[in-house]
Amino acid sequence: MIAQLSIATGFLLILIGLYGALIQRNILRMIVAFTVADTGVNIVIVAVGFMAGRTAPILDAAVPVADAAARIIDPLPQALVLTAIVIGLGTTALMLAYAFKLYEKRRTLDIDKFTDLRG
Amino acid sequence: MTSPLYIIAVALAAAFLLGLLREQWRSLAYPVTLAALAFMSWLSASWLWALASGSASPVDIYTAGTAPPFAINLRMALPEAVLTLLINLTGLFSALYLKSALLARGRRGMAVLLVAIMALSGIVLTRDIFNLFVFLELVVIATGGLVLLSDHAHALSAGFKYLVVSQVISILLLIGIIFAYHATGTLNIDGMAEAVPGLQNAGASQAFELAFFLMFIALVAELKPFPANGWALDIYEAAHPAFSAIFSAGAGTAALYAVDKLLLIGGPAWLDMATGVGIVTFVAGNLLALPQSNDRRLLGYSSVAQIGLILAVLGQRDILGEDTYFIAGGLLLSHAVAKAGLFWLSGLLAGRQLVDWADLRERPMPVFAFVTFAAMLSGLPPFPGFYAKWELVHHLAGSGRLVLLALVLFGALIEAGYLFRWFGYILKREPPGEADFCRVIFDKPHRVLPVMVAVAAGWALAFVWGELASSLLGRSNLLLALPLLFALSFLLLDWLPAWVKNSLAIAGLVAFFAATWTDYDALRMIFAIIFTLGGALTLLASYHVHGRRVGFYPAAMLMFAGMVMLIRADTSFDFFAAWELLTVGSYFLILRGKHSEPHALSYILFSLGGAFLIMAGFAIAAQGAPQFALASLAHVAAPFAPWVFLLLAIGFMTKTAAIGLHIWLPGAHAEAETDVSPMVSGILLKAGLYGLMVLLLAMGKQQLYGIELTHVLLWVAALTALLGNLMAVFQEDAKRLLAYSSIGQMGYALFGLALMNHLGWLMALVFVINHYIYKAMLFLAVGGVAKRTGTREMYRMGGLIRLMPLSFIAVLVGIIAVSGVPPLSGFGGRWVFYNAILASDYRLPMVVLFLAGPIAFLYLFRLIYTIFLGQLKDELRRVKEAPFWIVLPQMIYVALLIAFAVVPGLALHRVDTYLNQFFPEGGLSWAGGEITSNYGYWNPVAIMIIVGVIFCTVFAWLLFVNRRAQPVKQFNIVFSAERPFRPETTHFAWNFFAPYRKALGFLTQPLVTIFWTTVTDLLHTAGDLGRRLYNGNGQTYAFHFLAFVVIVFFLVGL
Amino acid sequence: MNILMTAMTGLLCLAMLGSAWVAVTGKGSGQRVSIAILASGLVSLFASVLFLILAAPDVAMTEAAIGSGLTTFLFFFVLSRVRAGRQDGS
Repeated sequence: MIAQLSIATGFLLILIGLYGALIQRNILRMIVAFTVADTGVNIVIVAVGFMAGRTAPILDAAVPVADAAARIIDPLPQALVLTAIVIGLGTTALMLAYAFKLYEKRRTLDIDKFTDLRG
Repeated sequence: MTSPLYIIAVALAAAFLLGLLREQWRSLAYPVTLAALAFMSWLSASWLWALASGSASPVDIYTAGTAPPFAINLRMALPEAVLTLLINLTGLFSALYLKSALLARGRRGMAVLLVAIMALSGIVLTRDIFNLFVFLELVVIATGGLVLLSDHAHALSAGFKYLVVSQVISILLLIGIIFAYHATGTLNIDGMAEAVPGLQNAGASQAFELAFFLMFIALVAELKPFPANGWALDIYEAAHPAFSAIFSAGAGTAALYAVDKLLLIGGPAWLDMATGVGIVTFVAGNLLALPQSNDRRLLGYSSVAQIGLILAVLGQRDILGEDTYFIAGGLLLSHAVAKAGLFWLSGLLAGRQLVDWADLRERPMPVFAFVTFAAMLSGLPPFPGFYAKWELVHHLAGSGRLVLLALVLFGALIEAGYLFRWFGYILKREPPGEADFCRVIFDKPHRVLPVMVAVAAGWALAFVWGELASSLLGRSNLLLALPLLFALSFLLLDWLPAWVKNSLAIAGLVAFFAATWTDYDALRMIFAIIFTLGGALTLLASYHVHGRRVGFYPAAMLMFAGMVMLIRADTSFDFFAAWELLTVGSYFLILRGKHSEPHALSYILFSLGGAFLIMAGFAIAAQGAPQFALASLAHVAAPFAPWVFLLLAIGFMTKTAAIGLHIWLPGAHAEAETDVSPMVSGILLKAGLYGLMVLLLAMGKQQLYGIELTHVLLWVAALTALLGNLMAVFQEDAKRLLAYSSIGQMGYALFGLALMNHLGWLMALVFVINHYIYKAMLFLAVGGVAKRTGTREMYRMGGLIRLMPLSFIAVLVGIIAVSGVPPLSGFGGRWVFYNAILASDYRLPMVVLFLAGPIAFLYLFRLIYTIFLGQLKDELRRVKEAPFWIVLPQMIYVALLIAFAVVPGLALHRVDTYLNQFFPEGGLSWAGGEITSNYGYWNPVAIMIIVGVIFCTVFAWLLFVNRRAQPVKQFNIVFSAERPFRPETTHFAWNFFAPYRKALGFLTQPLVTIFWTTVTDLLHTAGDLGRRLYNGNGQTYAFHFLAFVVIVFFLVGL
Repeated sequence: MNILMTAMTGLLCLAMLGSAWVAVTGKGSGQRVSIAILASGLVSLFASVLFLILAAPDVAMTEAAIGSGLTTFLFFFVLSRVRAGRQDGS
């Protein structure tokens, strides 16, 4: 139940994020929308990997190695998400750098003003 | 062998090292970058060498000490080695090219470049889908970073649009990956591929299909398919050219291989989607490239199109089988090397419009580089694209995928069109402004070197692909063909003076004939003599040119090499390769004329279109057989045979300029240089006739939907003869008149062939010989006159008989021969012809052809009368006879014509006997000096004597009567009270045939020209309409992408 | 227990969607970009709590630090530079 709820939320977040990215004219708002969408993706990934009734994939006193395989959630999706979060940060930072440089050139953050190359 | 992992490790290490360098060692940053890239290239190269020579086998590299699916693995096999070598070398030479930009931007730029190349190599090497995603994201970030560093407003907006759409792509890719993992339990590509068939549960396999769709569409989007590619085109246009080179050659390559890996997982069900997306992108990309005027944007569209084609090839894996990598690799390597080279070349020029490239003309090397790249992209021999396209077309035809075949050829024709149009600009337009191109070359050798390396790589690849084709597929390596090598050697010898090269060329042609003349049967012997010895004879006229004549000899010898290889070809492959070679050589030759830019373009378009039809015809005939001997045309299966016949016939007729396909000829032959016109009109047109002969001999009569195809040919031929001659009548320009005359004469020859009886063919062959001799002679004569008088318009000449007597004699003999008046050889041809018609049943075309005869006489008469007879103009009083070297071949031709008239059996007897094996009835019998047919007889010597006697009698009587004639001075003329305002209206030669024009002029409406112009206009309009999609807004592009995903989803029918 | 967890998750999701909506459209907040940025930071925060519920504590920590912390900081950094530029220039 929790997993389905989370997946649904994740997808909704993605849709909201993409909607914002396509509708907003201010570049900074676009980037914010992408951030929201990225968060949504991350939620979906972790939720897909969730298995009810199991615990976090950390081997310590509570979960000895011997019965780990039966008691922990698959760690792989979580590893994927960690990478994805960092990549998301990287692209966000790059897009922000672009936003700033674009502002420096044209003194505007309106994406409709940057349509000089066309055809 | 060093582990391939070092490709990635070294790049990363170098990038980090750059950041750690202390102040005093900062200047080492650039050499460190170059060293790292060089090491990576060396590593790929050593693996390629080892794998290709067999001393190493493909290896999987495990990381983290365990095997998949618990760890990531990389693979180094032959495709990976080739592709990483391509990526690393492009990176290395682009880094060299970017020297000043990188030094200005500092270590940040170099580090990002290293990461970009590393990530591209990683995409190629990895076997884990998430690892692929990570490397892909690295490429996106590195690309964004590199574009950001260029700091132009245009580049910045391009880069931002790229990032926006990349974000959307990566969201879809991630979702797809996680659900795929959920369904199959592994992230390893090979593991996933194995797990897919085992998905039992219907729900699980449905879920996997959806997940796979998302992954696949995301990776396909990385290939910039149409219409979801606006975001990438801006980068091609705005970024630094060295970077666009990496983007086109490197990123395209890596993305294609990623899609290929994914197809491995998905299986054959997804191939159709790849084909569909690919072919639409190919055609649309090329169509939209047509109206472009910005050079880099055009190259961007071309890149998108080529990558689309390769995607379509990957999607045809089911029928291509083992040849998939040969074809895809050939196309990919051609594209990558050529595009990188063209982008690098674009950086050497200041202007960004296509016409600004006229600056390149200053030096032969850049022009040669451009030609190499354009030839690679168009798939011309001997480059890899040629072999690849041949195999692709054959497989497609063999499996009946004819729509796809047609689309591929259509797109390829458009691409050749805009590339050759561009080349025309380079050679013919005015260079824009200050000529500072020379300075560029000497100041910036680090920019010129990558271009030269790309050219060398292109030729090396041509050789390698030829070797592969001959060892794997049984074709011949074109670069090893002696005639072609001889022609190419003239490129190296171009620094010599023209007369030396001319002598070498003549010697080469004669020697080739002498060495090989025993190989030919009687039919081919005629063509061999015309192509080699005839060519040598026309080359005599080229001695009149002084200087070095750079570019003439390679082009001319390429044409002759093609013609020679044509008659020696046994298989369809050799035939077609020769056909394209002679087309290309003649194009370059024709382009040299002063005003020939549009005509040369028209010529190459028609010729390539015809060539593609021929290739399609051969492919359908072969039906998937690996080798196809020309003789097997006779055994083509019934439903295909008429279509094959039709395709091949139309293809050959574009070369002989049959009506409807003729509009290129008048301009091309008229505007060509003085010594080129005889070559193309006298010799080159015969190649088309040769092709038709081979076709008709093998396939004979064919029926299509109940229509006898040779009957149609007869009509086409008759109309060609009539209309060609008619249009010649109304020309003011002497060379145009002769060009239209050639069209008409080719109609006659075609008619003879289409009669499909013994005498018809004999007549066609007589025509071949005669036409060569007198057309070459007439063109030389007219060319010589034009040289001395400075004009080609006949109404500006007149009365030249006293000043240019030798030219007059040549033209006189020529027109007697053409018109078929006895005693010269034209009469013999006519005699055979009338016999042939009597032997066949076709009345109506015959009538049309008969009409063409007297019409021909009209223009012939005009030719001699308006140029040589009549009154001499003031400005022409001082002209001398034409240059010696132009007159000499004419005199030789006169002698040949007379000799041929008296002893026609020299050439014809053997041919007559040879034809008996194909057309046993209706031959001639040769007894002494007399020739007998079923209907009558002909005695050339007797005719010569009789005509001579008549002539002498009339001449003597004329001299006697004229003793009392009173010579009138030139200006003893009276006007009847009217003053002429335009000088030409008083000259009798202007609008000579005005009454005929009133009567028959309606037949010469330029309907065909209007038709073809409308076709090209439609294509341009389509391109223009498509361009409007790209409105410059990044959000629109993201929206295009999402719409593309939805549409493809519904089309795939999940 | 289970129902409690589910209810909490549901509320969390609703809160997340609400702040996402605010972040993306700016309808509920006037026109200021800083509100949108803060809203997206809030989305990240709720997400990290969700990750805890989904038994992924390491992911939760990372998301909290990077998503809520670093990203929001970067946004405000750029926003301030842009504002400063706006005051200097036009």
